Amino acid sequence: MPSVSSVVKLPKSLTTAPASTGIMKMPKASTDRELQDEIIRYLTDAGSQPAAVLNPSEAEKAQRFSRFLARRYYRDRLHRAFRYSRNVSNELPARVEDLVDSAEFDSFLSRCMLGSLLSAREVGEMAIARLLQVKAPGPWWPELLHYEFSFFVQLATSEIDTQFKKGFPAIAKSTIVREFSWKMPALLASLKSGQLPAEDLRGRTVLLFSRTQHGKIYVVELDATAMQVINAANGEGDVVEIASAASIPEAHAQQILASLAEIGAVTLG
Amino acid sequence: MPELPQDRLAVGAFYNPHLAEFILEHADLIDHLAMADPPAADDSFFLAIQQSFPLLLHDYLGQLSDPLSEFALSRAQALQERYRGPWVAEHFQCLHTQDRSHSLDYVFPPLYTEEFLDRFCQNAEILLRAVNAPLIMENIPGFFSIERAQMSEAEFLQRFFERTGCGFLIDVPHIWLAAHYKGMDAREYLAGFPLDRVVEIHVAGVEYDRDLRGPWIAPAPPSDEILALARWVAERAPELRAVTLDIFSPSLTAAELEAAMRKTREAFHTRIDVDAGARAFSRSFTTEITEDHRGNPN
Repeated sequence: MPSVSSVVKLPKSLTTAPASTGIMKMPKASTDRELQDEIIRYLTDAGSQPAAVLNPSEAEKAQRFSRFLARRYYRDRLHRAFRYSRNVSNELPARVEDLVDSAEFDSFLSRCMLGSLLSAREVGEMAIARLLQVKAPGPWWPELLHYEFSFFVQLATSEIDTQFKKGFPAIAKSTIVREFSWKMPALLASLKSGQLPAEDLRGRTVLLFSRTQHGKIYVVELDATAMQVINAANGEGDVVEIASAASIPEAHAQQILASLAEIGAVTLG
Repeated sequence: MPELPQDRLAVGAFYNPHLAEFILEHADLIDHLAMADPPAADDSFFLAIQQSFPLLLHDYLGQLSDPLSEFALSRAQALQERYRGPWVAEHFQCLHTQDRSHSLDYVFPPLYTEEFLDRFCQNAEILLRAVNAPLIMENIPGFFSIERAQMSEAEFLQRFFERTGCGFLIDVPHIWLAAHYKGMDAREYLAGFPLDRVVEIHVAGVEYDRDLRGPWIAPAPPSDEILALARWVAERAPELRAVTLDIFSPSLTAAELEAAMRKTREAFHTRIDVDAGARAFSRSFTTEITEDHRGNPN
């Protein structure tokens, strides 16, 4: 996948991936291992029912443990994802990760499904809303926040893609493709060195944010060809159709898809 | 590769990359480093770290309640080949569902049953063969009770160690918490634990948590009570080789690490020679880079 950035108009379907629901039907556990799964589901999914082996007082303790887990999980991810904004704004009223101690977050806990895309997006939006209220240190501030939001969604999503058709490549659930009006790699390099950008770094950049099933996060620039392949990887067409849609040879499409699959951006089916 | 001291107990810490420069300058204070994560690609200090300290593999290698994937086994093997530590550590935990659709992303004990004991024994043996190094296992506390357990935590661990020959990494704050939530004295709770299997001790603090309405694991320095309990364990652990300060957090400061290390060393009467061995290391700090802008993953 070449790293040449280019202007690509993104279809909405790529920027708003489908969300999962939080309610799960509890399977009946027959083995101890299945029972452990039932308890893990209860701890991670606010919409699930308590396991039968938890008496009422222990179920209440498990609920509290569940809230502890959620606060800990999102506090850690917010801290890791929103690190540039933390370092460049003197106006922050508090650390963004402290939102997990807010009443707003308490309300979110009643519908939280730990590691789900839906929950990650909701927490990320809470963070952005807070940070957009402060005095912007530069015109690039909203873009930086959206970069950090996209990164956060990868860090805070552990859902695995299970619904795909064999032989029909599809963009992965948590993958985000976003067009920025600033040269984000240069902007981040400047912020990382502790400097506010001295020159005007306006320029369109298309970035893809993805995570592998082993938790490695990638942010890569997409060129026009890779973008066309991504657009065509909708789970409805095979490699031949994707190559045709992108106007490239099948072998080239296969190569790009393999690269995208390696970084967790698409599932090959 | 540096090795653990042979003539005395090693007292070390976790590798916190944001404190790399401090760690390198205080080799007199830190005998070894436990590695919770692989070093970041842009960690410019890691080469010097590896040349200066014995490294103990303490990553998440996989949960031994389930068969480890080929990927997990290869990764464990590669990490151990890289660090070449005297042993490899894992936890008595089961934190994600078998289909991996739900994960706690946090330590969580298994049910203490015959079925889980068999599972842990079988999978530990597979991991042992893959890493080709001794395996030690760390105890994990529970916060609530489940009406399915067939044995105590102590019996589960005792039988596991008997069957596998693995060593025991006893996390003292975990023991303290497990006892606390059972309303027991920690020393009383430890009755029946196989302390003769202990190879490494973890010490750290506990802090009040508002959701749990009580103390829990925290990246905090060990209290006098925890250190006294750790010493009590050490006196009963003839195979003990290392004590590790179990704080791995970006919020940890150099001053906190230094104070906690001095306190821990003092508790175990380990000599600290302030000047000898200190290394001049004045390179400026680098922040971690977790995202990859190379553009081409190939």
